[in-house]
Amino acid sequence: MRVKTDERRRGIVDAAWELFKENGFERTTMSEISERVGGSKATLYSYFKSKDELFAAAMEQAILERTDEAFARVGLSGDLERRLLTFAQTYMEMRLAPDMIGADRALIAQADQSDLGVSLLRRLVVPQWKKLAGVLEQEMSAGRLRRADPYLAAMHFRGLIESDLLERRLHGDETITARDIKANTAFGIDAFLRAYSA
Amino acid sequence: MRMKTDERRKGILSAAGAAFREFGFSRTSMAAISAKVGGSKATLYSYFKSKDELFAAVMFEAMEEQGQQVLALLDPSDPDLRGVLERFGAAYLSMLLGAEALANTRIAIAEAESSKLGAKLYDLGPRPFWEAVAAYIETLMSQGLLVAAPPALAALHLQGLLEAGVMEPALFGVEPLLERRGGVKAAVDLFLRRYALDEPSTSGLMGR
Repeated sequence: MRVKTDERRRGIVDAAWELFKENGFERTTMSEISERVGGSKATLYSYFKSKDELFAAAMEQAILERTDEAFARVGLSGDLERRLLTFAQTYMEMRLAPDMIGADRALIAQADQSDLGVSLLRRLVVPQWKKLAGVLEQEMSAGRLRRADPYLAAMHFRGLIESDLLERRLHGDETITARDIKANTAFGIDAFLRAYSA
Repeated sequence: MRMKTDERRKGILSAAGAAFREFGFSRTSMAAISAKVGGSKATLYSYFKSKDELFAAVMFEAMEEQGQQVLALLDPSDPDLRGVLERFGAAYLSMLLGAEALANTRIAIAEAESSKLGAKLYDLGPRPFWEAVAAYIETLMSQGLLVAAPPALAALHLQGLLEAGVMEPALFGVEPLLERRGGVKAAVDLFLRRYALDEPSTSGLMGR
């Protein structure tokens, strides 16, 4: 058997994500994916035990690629409001992107039968927001925000910038523009900073 | 043709609701529903022109009464604003996170990919609900109890704060990390810190 490589794994994940985007999660088969990658199904299964596992890896990669830097940079020095605005816009653009909404819908649609969504939350989403909580905690220690539960504050931040664009988008609203995102995040962050001001 | 009756309509809605929740929207056919109700497909179509319309009616029927009860908690003449909002928040989350409501929301989101059904359901449910909350907030603003701000955006902030950390896990089928009652108190506290005039903030959860 061939040695498994990162490059090959990456090729599989990319091909799978393309197919999920084109045909939806449910209608995409492992055979199609291995055909697109150009290899045997046995090779594919040596990398990913199931379509679920592959989907989780592809979604994780898509999220990390678009937001990991933003989650890292929000903790750097500089004006807090500006940092939060930059972060929130990058995050919301990822969150509302058509492929991410499609993936979210697939996870929500099969929440009854699969724990893919739950494991994504545990492995990726919660740790990412804990990073923001860590940043907020630093701001609290520095006296720029008042003392509070940092993870709860991170959740409030998230709720304020997502509402109600995410809900509308999930329900099929295609009219949300980059300007809407900008205005919404600015207003949400304004509320956040007023409510958490030291 | 037989007369249309409310009773028969209700029977259709309850059979259809059960079928949608059990098999999902796309795998439930009008034929299967009419078989379950015990009548012809023609009768079923005389009540509901399409499966989309039937599903919208199921969802509306399930949520409308509850939604009105939750909105009725928003009494602008009650001076205990914090208490009103906390009771509203708790009732809202109970409604939203009920098994039936959650199953319906999942279907609406899943179907939004390929049809206008999701948008239609949003227009029937969440949109008018939060418009009513915005109207309540506007009343409080005009009474000088809340600071002047766009009422619709303030309402969406209240929604975002109440659902934060709760709605996403629920849609994915897991209990939220945050404890519900404490979450509502904290959300209302934050809302009032942003929007209330001279509202003394309780320490509670936030002071931890």
